[in-house]
Amino acid sequence: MSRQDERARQEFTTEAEELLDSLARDLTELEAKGSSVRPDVINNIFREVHSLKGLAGMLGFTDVAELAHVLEDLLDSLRMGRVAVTPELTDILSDSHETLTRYVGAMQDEGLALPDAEPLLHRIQKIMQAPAQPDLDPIEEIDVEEQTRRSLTEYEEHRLRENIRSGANIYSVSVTYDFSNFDDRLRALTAELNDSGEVISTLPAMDITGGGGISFRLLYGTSLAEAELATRAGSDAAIKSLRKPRPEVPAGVPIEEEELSLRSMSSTVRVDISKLDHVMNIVGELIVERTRMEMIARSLQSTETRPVARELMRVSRSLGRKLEELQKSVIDTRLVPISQLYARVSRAARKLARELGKEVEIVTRGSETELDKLTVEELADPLMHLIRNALDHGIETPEERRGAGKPERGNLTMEAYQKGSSVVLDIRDDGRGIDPSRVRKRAVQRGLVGQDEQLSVERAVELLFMPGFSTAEQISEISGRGVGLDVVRNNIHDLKGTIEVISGDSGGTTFRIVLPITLAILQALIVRSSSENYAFPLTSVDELVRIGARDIRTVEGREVFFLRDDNVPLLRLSDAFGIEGAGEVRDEASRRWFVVVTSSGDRKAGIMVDEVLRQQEIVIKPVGERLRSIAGIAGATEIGESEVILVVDAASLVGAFGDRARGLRRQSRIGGAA
Amino acid sequence: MKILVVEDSTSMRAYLTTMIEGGDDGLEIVEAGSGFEALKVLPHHTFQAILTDINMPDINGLELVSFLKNHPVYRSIPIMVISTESSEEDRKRAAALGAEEYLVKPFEVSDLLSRLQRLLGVQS
Repeated sequence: MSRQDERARQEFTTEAEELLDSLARDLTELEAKGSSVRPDVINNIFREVHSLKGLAGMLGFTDVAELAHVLEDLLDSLRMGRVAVTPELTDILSDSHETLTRYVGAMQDEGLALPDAEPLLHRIQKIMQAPAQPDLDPIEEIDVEEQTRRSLTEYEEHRLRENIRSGANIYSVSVTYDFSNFDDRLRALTAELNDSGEVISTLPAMDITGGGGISFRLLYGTSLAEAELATRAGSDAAIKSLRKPRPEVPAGVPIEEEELSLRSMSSTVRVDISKLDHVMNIVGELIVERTRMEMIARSLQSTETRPVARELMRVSRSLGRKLEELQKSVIDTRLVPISQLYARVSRAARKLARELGKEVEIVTRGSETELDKLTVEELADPLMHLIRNALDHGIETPEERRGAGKPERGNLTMEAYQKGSSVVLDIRDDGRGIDPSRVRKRAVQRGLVGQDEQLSVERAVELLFMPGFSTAEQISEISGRGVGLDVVRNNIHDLKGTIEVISGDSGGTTFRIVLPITLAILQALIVRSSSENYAFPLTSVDELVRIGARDIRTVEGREVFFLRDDNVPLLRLSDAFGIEGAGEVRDEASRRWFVVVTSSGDRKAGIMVDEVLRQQEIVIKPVGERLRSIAGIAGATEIGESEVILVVDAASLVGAFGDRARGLRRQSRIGGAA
Repeated sequence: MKILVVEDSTSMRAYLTTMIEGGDDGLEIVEAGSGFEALKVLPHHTFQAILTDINMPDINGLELVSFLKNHPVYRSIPIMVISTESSEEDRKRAAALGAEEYLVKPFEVSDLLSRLQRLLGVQS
């Protein structure tokens, strides 16, 4: 493939993704509003699929093109009123969106399997086999100008028929505008008219007044009387009624008070996220450079250089403020509203609820809350998993709910809000909640707790996050996919976030996910161990404890220390990375350490380091192949004085070195003795 | 020779431009992302041909064709409408309004170029 073709292919794919996003939004509205949805929403859906088909065809993706083609026929029937909006139809559209999304994914990544569209094609054909309804052409009832009539597309003709059928008044509205700003003025007029009717067609013509402007003839359906319309359209509009209004019918096209989408007027630029990453990296490096500048200033504290140092410090501070501003605006450009995610998951959730025979109202709140684009992408899977759990295990069937004195219709609420530099996302259902006795039964079966052990709600929740743990009586079609809450927790950890469960006594379950707004810059703890410095992302640090040699005990051959009620296993950072302590203190008895307490899943562990230097902002950079394969390393970062240090991935470190560290330590002792 | 390409899809527009300019050195493309934009650029150039999509916001391809073919100055510019196979009815209407040529998406570049040559021949 030539570079030109490759570039075209990339642009097509990007546009296809955007179309799929808009399609998801419009489908959500269609599902929510049902048959009372505004006609332009259906028309948008049609146009999005239509454009997708065009793109897929150009790329040679015949499968996508074929599905889009059949889908387009269906949508055409829908917008022409030959097919009705039913749950079956919205399901088909939703499944089609999913299939198309997977196809587009496969365009970029050849390793992905292509979905099978055959069953969908059958469903679409079936729903379209409903008999057509022939009737008289209502357009005969009005007197449209010949040129307007001939310029109508098939769809516009249908909308005209629908307007006539509904009893609306049909007008021809003619305006002439100056050439310099006709587009703005016409869009304003169209928006104004669409508030109380439907502009069916816009036909441009030469300036009929003979001036240097341009004229337009709008075909307009509305419940407004001619005098009212004249007021709204303004004095420079010429209005002509194309038919006598039927006085006995309270005419009207149902129009909702909603802002019109003026997408073509938006002034946005599409940018590849990797370009933003690059800018972000440079900003990060500049921040590091600024730190170095301050260090230099500090080193110039002798009497003769003090004025220079002061000036340098002042410049450095002001540079720091500007950099902070720059960093904030770069981060801002990466942020997208969580509504993108809501649109996708709520459609899937509604469909799932129907499949499970449950009546559930899906509520989303705080949809304007913003998060890093990458986080939003990566959040879809874990969020869907939680929703699946809530719908499958949490919310009861209508019968069960009636029996429990609850309303038959369950509720699943997703609520997002910003809290400092984090975003909190609550996923709340009003189902049966987490029952410690059921968790206990299962845990005993799996040998995780003793027969007689009592379980607190907190402990039950911890058990839920254990690998492979599930309380479902039977592995159901929906939740039984071999993925447990432990995977959800890992996904959230990968995004540097946390997840916890709040199981209220009033029933129901709330999962609370807390995520940093962006992954680009991290707060880190800089520590020293065996003369080497390391950075711990603060999100992985539960607390910091100081211990002495006598606090360390050995339980079952493993070093632990006592933290409140628990024995917490210890791990020496120098052991973990196999570093021989250069100037290791021989007299261990009087030695003191800092312990970075971290948790992985439900396991706590302490990582012993010699010193804690400071807290600082870092930008993680990827490390080379050789280091990447070592567990416990998240990347590298520069922390001033051109010093590059490793960033510790505490969770994987504890997981991988829990056992190995002991072996290493024993070995090194033997080695030392020899 | 200048050609006006009216198409609301950015990537399709860029593709058309690349393919046409790459296919013949003598052709220069002016792009318009909507019917309104097309109306705005028309007075500033002398076009030898116009390629337009049918399904577009603001004003659609048929309305644009209707305008052009009823205009004393622009009526002689040959027009090619670009549409998908499902818009056959609309394509017929475009032909009835006076559009000289059509192209169905997806198309082969060679098809695009040969139809464009035919279109340019119409005028001479």
